[in-house]
Amino acid sequence: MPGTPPGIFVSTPNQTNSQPTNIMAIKLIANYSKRLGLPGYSSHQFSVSVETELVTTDDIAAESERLYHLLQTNVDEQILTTGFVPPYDYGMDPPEEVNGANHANGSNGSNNQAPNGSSNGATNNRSHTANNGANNNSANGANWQRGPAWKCSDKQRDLILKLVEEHQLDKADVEALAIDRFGKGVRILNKIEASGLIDELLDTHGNGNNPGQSNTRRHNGSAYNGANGANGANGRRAA
Amino acid sequence: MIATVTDPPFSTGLTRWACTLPQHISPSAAKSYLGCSLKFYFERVACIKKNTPVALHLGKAVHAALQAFHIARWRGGDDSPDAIAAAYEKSFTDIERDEGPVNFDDEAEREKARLDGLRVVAAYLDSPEAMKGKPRAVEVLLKENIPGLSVPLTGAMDLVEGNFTPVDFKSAAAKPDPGNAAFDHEIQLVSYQLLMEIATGQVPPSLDLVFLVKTKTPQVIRVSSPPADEHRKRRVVAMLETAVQGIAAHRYNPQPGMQCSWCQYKNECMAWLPADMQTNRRAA
Repeated sequence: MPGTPPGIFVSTPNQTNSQPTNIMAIKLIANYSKRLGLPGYSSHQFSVSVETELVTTDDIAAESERLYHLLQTNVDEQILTTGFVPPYDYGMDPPEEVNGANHANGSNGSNNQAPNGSSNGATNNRSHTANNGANNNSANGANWQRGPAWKCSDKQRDLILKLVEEHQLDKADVEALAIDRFGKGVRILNKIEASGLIDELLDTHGNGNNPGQSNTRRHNGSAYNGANGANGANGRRAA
Repeated sequence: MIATVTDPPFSTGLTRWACTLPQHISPSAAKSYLGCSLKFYFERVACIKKNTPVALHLGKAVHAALQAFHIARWRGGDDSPDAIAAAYEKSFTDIERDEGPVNFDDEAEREKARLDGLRVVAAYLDSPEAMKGKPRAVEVLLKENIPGLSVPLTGAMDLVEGNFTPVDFKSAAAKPDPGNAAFDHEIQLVSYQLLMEIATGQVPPSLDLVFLVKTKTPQVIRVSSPPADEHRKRRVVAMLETAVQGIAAHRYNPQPGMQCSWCQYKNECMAWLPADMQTNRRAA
């Protein structure tokens, strides 16, 4: 196991004096340390040290055994809590674009990009809500590269990011849309919820030539005739 | 008349794709294969096109209308009866144009079917089953790897309610028997549970079917079944895998039964012979 190995140290007073003396105390210092690996080349470590006094050296063996088990148990209990674990793309994204800063600075709504194709009343309502949400949740919307790991599938995450990039959507608006529809941010949408978000983004911003555009009808696929169709990422309807 | 296909369906055992796993398996494909593997072949492998049965066409149009209603509920759009009726009318026409022709005997039958569907949609909107709150998802396709299955499982759920109950809508000519209904759709319901559990980490509180019965006075009947235990899950996974292995091995053969009475592929079925017998017949 990497890290500081467990150790037991015993120190006794120097006995340079030839005259017999009484041993005042025997100090026993025990340390237990454990380092464990985490995803994304991370690790965390915890160690506990205690210091005790023994009356006689005869107690060293038994006390060492007791302390070892005691410390190990306590370290193990605590190290189960991993705390923040950086996602795989932690620190890899470029710094957040200016939009997020604009929201944080409280710029007025006219600077926000209105979603394309917001022609009907429903979309306008949604867009309004999204903008409000963006102002209220600008910190969340501006920080997709930080925070908890994405809960949807990798394909869904990539598709959401691709849609945002291709259609120049404001991440804060998309974040607010997710909060409005599901009561939670984009990163923590599960696969079913992410599917709904993707469908709505495609319905609102996709165009007829988008290969991933949602289809309102299902068809029997050709997954069984040996041809390699492109059916089926999570959240997309059957081709 | 025997449909013309480049590779006759009775040569399936020697196709170049034999022993190749399908890309995925869906509950409907598995049920179709286990019901009659040869019909599955005609429909989904050889893709022999047939006229759409009237009931199927009607069911698709009703599904589209319900989908429009649920999406409107979800996104705060127009969920008024007029808007949903318009969605139904559009789907009825679009599906006929895009996937037809439909087996209507004449225009009168077409009109009757159209009105039947409209009544069914209206009955749903008036019923207590019509969603009042916000759905969790509408018409969602999931694809997940399931332990015990050689290929990913896919499933398209009509509706996921707020408490993660998957709901599938079925249009039916007669009132269903609740016990049989759940059993008949066991593969589909349990597959949805398997997909939901992986996708959300939650066990759905129940597995629901909502039947839209096309009687003179249409009825809307919900059949709920409890979530599957481990035995039911293993049983369904075994059925799905049986279908996968059969498709991979190109095992397609007639499975005579009462379903043959309304099968559209009787002529093709009559022409079927095992691959080796077909080879001998050609040589002779």
